[in-house]
Amino acid sequence: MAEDNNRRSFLGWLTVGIGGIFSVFLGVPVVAYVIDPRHRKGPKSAMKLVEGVKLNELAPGGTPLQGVVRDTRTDGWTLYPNDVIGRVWLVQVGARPDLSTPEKLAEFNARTTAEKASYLFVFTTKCPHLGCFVNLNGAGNGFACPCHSATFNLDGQRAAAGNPAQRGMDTLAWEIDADDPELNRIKVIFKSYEANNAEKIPLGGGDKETPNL
Amino acid sequence: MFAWLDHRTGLKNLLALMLLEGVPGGARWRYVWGSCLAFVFSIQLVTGLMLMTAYSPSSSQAWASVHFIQYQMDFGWLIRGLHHFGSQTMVVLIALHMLQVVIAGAHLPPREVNWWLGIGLLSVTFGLSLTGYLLPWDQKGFWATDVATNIAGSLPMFGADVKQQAVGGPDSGNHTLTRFYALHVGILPLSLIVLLIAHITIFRRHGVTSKENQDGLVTSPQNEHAPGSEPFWPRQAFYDLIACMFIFGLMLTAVLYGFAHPVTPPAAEEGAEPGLYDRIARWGVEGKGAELDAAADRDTAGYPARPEWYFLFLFQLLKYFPGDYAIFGTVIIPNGAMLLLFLLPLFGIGSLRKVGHFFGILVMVTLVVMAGLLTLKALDDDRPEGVLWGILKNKDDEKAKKAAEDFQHKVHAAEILARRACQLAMEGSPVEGGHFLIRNDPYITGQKLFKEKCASCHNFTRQPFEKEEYPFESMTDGKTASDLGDFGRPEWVAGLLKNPLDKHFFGRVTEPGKDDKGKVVPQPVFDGMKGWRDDIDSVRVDEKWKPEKIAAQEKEFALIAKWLADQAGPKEKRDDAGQAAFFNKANKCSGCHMVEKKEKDGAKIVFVKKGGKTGPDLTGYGSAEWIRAMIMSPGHKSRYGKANRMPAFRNPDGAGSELSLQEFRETNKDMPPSMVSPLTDIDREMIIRWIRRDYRPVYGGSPIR
Repeated sequence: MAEDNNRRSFLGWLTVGIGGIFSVFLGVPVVAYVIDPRHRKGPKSAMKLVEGVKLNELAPGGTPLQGVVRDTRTDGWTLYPNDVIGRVWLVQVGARPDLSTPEKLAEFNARTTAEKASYLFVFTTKCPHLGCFVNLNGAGNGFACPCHSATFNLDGQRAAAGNPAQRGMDTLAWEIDADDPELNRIKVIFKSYEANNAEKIPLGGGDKETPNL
Repeated sequence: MFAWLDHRTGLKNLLALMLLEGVPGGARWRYVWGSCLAFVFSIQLVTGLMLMTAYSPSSSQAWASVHFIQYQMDFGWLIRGLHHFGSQTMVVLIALHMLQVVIAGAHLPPREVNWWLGIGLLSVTFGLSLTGYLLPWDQKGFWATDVATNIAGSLPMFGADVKQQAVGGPDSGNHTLTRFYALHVGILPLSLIVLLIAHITIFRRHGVTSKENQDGLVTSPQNEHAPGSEPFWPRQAFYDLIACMFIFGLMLTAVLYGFAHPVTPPAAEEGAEPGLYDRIARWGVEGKGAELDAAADRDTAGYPARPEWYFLFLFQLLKYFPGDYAIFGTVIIPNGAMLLLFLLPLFGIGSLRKVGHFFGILVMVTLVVMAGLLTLKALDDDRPEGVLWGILKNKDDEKAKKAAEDFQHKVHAAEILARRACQLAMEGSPVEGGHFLIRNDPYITGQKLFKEKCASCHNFTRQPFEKEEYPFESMTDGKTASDLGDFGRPEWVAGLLKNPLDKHFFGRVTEPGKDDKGKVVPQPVFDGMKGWRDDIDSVRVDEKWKPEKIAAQEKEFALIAKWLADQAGPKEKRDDAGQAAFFNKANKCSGCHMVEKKEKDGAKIVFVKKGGKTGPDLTGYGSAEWIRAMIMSPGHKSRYGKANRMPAFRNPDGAGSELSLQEFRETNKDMPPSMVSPLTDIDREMIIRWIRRDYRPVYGGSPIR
C-alpha cells in the first residue's frame, strides 16, 4: 500500500512539474507579447520644415504665430506618408541675427536652443500639464491652456501662482532652413514630452532635456 | 496557509471533485483524446485573446494588423502560429476522439445525449475554423470565404437571405469581417464553452466506457475504491498531460518549421545587430509561424482559391455534382452524413446494442475513409504529378494535367505577390488598405503598366542588377523605339555613345525615306547622335590620331556616361572629371546639349545651365523628373522638340487636369490629338519608378520617405 502511495505521489509531482514547466514555457512569450508596446519607439527625430509661417511675419514683442510640421507618421501598422505631426508657436523676442553669409548662417544654426532663444522661441503647442492644445490668450500677450487653466508668458514660463503645469512650455530644437533663398523659414525637430512632470522627458525614448521652468 | 485557504474556500473539496473522479477499469492511454481537445481549446482561448489585443477587424486594416502581429510584435509569430495550427489540431483531434468514442461504443445508451453534444461541438469547431480563416483578410481567406458564402447563397429557399445576413450586405467587406469577428471571438467560443461544460458534466455522470462501466454507473470521488476503479489523479492525469505535451510539440514543430514568407526587416537603427532575444522575438521575419498571403484584393485575376485542407473533401464533393445537382454536394450529402452521425446512438438501443455498435464503427470508418479519399483526390487533382506517386492519376488525361499545371502556376504567382506584399508592409501599410501595396507597387504594377502602355514601342530587357529577388519577364514586342531596360545606367549611355543607331537606342525610330536610287527605305529619325559619332570617328581618321589618344578619348566618354548616369542623383556627388569631359570642346557634347554645370562664383558653388539647345536638355538625365517630362511632354524643346515621335501621356482625370491638358494642347499645336494618350498620375509614377529600379510603393500619390 505504501509503495503504491509513493508511486502515486511521484506521478503526481511529475505531472505538476511538467505542467509547471509548460506553463512557464508558454507564459514567457505570452507576457513578452503583452508588453510588446514597451518596445515601440517614438518617431525618428529629424529637422522638418515648419510650414505656414515666415520669419519676416514676426516682430520682437509682436503676436506669436503658429506653424505646422508635417512628416511621415506611423500609426502601428498604418503609414501616413505626409501627415501633420504637430504644431508649433513661434515667438520673436530679439533682433534677427546677421545671416548674410553661409558661414554666419552655419554658425547661428550650430548654436544651442537656449542661445537661439535670444532671437526666437519655438514651442510645441502641447501643454506640459496634461497635453491639451495651448492657445494664445485673449489679449495675445501670453498663452493659455483651455483644459485646466495653465497660463504661460510669451517666453513660455508659467505665468501666475497656482498654475497646474509643473514646467513651462516645451521648447524644440530648431534651425534656419538653409534651402530657403530668403532664409525666412525654420526647421524643427518635433517631439512630445511626458506630461505632468517637472522634468522634460521625450516620449518614446531619448535623453532628458532642460525644462523651461 | 493551505488550511486557511481551504477553510475559507473549500479548495480541497473542489480539487478532490475535479481530480479524484473514479476511472472504472483504471487509467488508459486511449482516454486521453477528450483532455487533449480541452487542452488545445484552452491554448486557442489564450492565443486568441492575445491576438484580439492587436487585431483590427476592418477591410482596410485587418491584413495590415495581422502583418504587424506576424512580423513586428514580440512573439507575434508564435502566438499567431499556435492559434493557426491549433485550429487544425482541433479538427484532427475531434476526428480521433469521435473514432475512439464510436469504437468504444461510448455513443450508445445511456450516453447518447453526450454524443449529440459532441456533434454540436464539432459543428461549432467547424464554424470557428470557417470564420477564423477569413479574419486575416488575405487573398486565401477572402476567396475561400467568398466561395463558401456563395454556396450558402445558392441554397434553395432562404439561401440568398442567409448569405446576405452572414456577409452583412450584398457583397463582402467591412461588414463581413465585423460579423465573422463577432462570431469567431464571441458567439462561437461562448457556445463552445457552454457545450463543453455540459459535455464534461454528462461525461462525469456516466464515466468512461470500459468493460466494467458499460452501463455508465454514476461515478463519484467516493467510488474511487470501487473494484477495478482508480482515481483520475494522478495516473490518468499524467497520461493526459503527456499526450497534451506530445500534441503541443507537434503544433510547435509546425510553427517552428515556418510557413510564413521571409522578409528583410528595415535596416536596424544605429546599425545594431539584433540580439538573440530580439531575433527570436521577431522570428516571423525569417518565415516562422503561419502563412500570411497578400492582402485581399477583389481585383485579382484568377486567384487559385482553395479552402483549408480539412474542408477539401467538401470542396472535392462539389466537383461531382455539376449544375442543378450541386445541392447534393452542398447540402444533401454533407447534411445527410451529419444526420446519420446524429442518429448513430439510436441504432444501439436495448438488445440491438451489439449490432448498433458494429454499425456505428462501420459508418464512422466509412466516413473518415471517404473524407480522406476525397481530400487525397482534391490534392491529386491540383498537382500535375499527383500525390502518392501518382497512383490516383489518369496519365492520359492531358486536360486534367494542364489544369493542374495552370493551378500550380497561379499558386506560384500568388506566392510571389504574397512575398512582395509582406516585404513592402514592413515599412507600414497604406491607409487605403494592404492591397494598395501591390496595386501601387512599381515592381508588380509598374511592370504591368509598362507592358500595357509602353511595350508596344519600347523593348525592355535588363542586365541582371544587384540583388533582384523577384522574377521579371523581358519585353521584346517593341518595334519602333529604344530598349528602356537599362535606361539611365552608365552602360546604357556608353552603349548609346558607341553606336547610336543600334536597335537598343535610336536605330528603330525610323520613318519612310528614299535612298540614292529613289527607293523607299526606312530612315532613322534621330540622326543627330549618329552625326556626332561620325564626326568623332572622322576627326580621328583625318587627324591620324594615335591609338593612345583614341583610348584617352574613349576613357573620357566613359566618364561622361558615368556623369550623365549620376545626373539622377544628388548634385554634389557628380564627378568633376565627367563634367570637364562633357564640356571638353573636342568631345562635342555641349554644342548641342544643355546641362547644369557646377561653377565657382567667388567662394560660392553655383549650378548654372550651359550648352546648346538643339539636343535634349540633359539636366537631371534619368531622374524621375527627367522621365516625367519625357512622358508628359516629349515634344517639349527641352526634350526632342520637333523631332519627337512619341505620344504625350497625360492624366485625363481629376480636378485641374482639363486645364493642364488644354494648356498642353495650346503649346503643342503641331502634335495631332491622337498623339496624346491617357495615363493617370499614379500609373505614370509607377512606370517611372519601374524604369528607375526604384521599387518603393506609391502611397496615395505621396512618395514614401
